[in-house]
Amino acid sequence: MTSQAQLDHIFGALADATRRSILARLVQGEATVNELVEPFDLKQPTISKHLKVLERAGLVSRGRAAQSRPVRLNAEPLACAAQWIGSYRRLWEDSFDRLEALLGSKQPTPKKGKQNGRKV
Amino acid sequence: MDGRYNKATNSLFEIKRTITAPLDQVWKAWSERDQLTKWWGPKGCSLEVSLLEFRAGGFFHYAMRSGNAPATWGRFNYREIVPHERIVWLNSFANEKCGIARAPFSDLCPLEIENAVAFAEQEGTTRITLHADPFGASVEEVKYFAELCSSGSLEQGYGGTFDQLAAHLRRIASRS
Repeated sequence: MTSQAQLDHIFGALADATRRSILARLVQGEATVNELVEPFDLKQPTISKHLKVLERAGLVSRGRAAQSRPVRLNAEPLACAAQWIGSYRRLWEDSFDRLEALLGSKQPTPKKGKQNGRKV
Repeated sequence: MDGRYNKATNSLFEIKRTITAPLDQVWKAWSERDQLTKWWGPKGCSLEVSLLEFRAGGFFHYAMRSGNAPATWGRFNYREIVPHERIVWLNSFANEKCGIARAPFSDLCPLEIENAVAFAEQEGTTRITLHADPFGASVEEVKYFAELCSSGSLEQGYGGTFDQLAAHLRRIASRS
């Protein structure tokens, strides 16, 4: 899959409120399809359809061993985009934090005084 | 409401920061390629510069990358540069050829955001003031940006659960 196609899958997956809520639920830990059905007023086939979209985007993966095939969050593909989805302010706060660190504005910790270095 | 607003007196977004460094150093950090990539951009994402033309009309074109995820491209289009004083630019998402692109996550995000940053030196520290406003945006786009600016409200718009996801992603981003 080309990068662009993957990106389209990712953002296509995020365009839906139910799928975003599923991702938010999975932040708390893996869940079976049945557990995901509960909080939503939706039928299992509908949830499964959403999960397929999320899986294709690489945002979730399914366990193989257990019959219940728990769903897990794989959020790494979202890391950059999430900053924009989150907040413009945070983007700038974080950038300014790094600018400050880069320019060494943190006062250098004073070297332990060699002079009379004895402490009482 | 006709969607217009007086941005000279009423910017949708304002952020200020005082950096303990002389203005000259701060200016270099905003205008030089190796410096700019070291601090600007989403947390946890490396910035790869494909073009930096630091002059009015020029472009800063970059790829944002994190882990193995495909790059998200962005660009600055500089409109005004007054050395040691002020930079005005339009920020937008882009394709890999520096063409303008819609935000990958929403059609309602303004195509371009005008940022204006002003610098003022005071006893070895530099005061940075940044304003941002949607540029040539529709009423809906302005509304979307206003929500994006009031920290957290966009996340609440997602039913209050999305902020957890956002926080989680930030943790991941800060690890990489």
